[in-house]
Amino acid sequence: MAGKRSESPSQLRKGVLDLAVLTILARTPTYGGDLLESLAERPGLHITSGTLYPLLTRLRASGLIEATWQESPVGPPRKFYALTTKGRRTHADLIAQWRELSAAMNHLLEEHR
Amino acid sequence: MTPIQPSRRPLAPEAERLNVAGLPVEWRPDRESVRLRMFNPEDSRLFVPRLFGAGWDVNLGAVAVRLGLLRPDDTLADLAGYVPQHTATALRVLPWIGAASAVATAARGWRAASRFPTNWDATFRPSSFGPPLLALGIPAVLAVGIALWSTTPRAPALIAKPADPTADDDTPAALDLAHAQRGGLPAATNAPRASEDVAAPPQDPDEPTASTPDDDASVDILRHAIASGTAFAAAAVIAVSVASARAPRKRNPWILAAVGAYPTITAGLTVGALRSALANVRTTLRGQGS
Repeated sequence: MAGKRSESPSQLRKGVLDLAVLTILARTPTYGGDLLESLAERPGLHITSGTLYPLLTRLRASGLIEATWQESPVGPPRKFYALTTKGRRTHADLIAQWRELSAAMNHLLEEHR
Repeated sequence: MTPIQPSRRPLAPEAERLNVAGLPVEWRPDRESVRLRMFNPEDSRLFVPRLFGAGWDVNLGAVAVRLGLLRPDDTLADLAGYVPQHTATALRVLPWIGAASAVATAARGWRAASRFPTNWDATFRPSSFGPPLLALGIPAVLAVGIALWSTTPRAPALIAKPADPTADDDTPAALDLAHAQRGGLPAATNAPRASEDVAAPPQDPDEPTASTPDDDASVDILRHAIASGTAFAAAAVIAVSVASARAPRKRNPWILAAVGAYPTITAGLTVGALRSALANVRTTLRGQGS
């Protein structure tokens, strides 16, 4: 039981990570390290590179984001990730779903307080 | 300015593996998803199911990331198309140099003794012996065999191909052959050719591009690195076996280095090729910017 309870927050977070990454990339294309920092600024969304890069690969495989090489002021060129047309549509859909879901959840939680 | 895109095509999802008594079992070492498993910087796991047989192998890509030699998204699939020509040539030749070394070392040491060590104990002393055919011949044949394997016609393994950003369905871009024919990919099909030393930028998507899977630049980095690592390790094992046959009671810690040559050379060559590909991308970007 305790195990199940401790898994729940990470499962919840896992569900919104796609939306979080797509939202950051919708604002501005960026590279993996910067994405990690942006997510780390929001404590609930902090993830490791072991979670982020497979997620980026999955989003690329689904055609939601694309990557472009860009020069880096330090070190080798970086891969910049940006939303594709399909990614922008999916992002808009996800935002709508999130708003609907969070409104419903807030309402439910208020009822049972 | 045409952007240079990473030449990835998404990997097919890994097929299910057999599990025997909790151990993963792999019998398809030539599958792309299986082969890339042993050098996958995106996967932070240090131990991954074996390339062939039962158990686990070290994910050399994760080791390279932890050592700061690569970033997690410096993947083979994205960079294979940008390997410079001279690096590609060296990668193709190295397995044969390793195999030639193995054969030459075996031939030279063949008559050094009648029995050669085939095993060493934990203190590096020879613990079992066999005839030269077993101790020297088999590693030499393995070295030649692996060099031959490295030159077999390439599967469409690392020919990279990005997702079609305009696609409406969820079909993996790897299956979208029409996209490749349109030339809208900066992958191996648009990669540097023998006559040029830098990766060609992606062509006009409306312009047809000939697909050239045997293009020099689409070298299968990992396969050649594995073959080189194996061939040189076999040569080293043969050399240590000959040395130990001459002094069978002496410890020979070089056996450790001989066995360690396989992962060291494989990882070193792969990292080196990826870094040279990154340097190539940078050169191309600077060329476009100037």
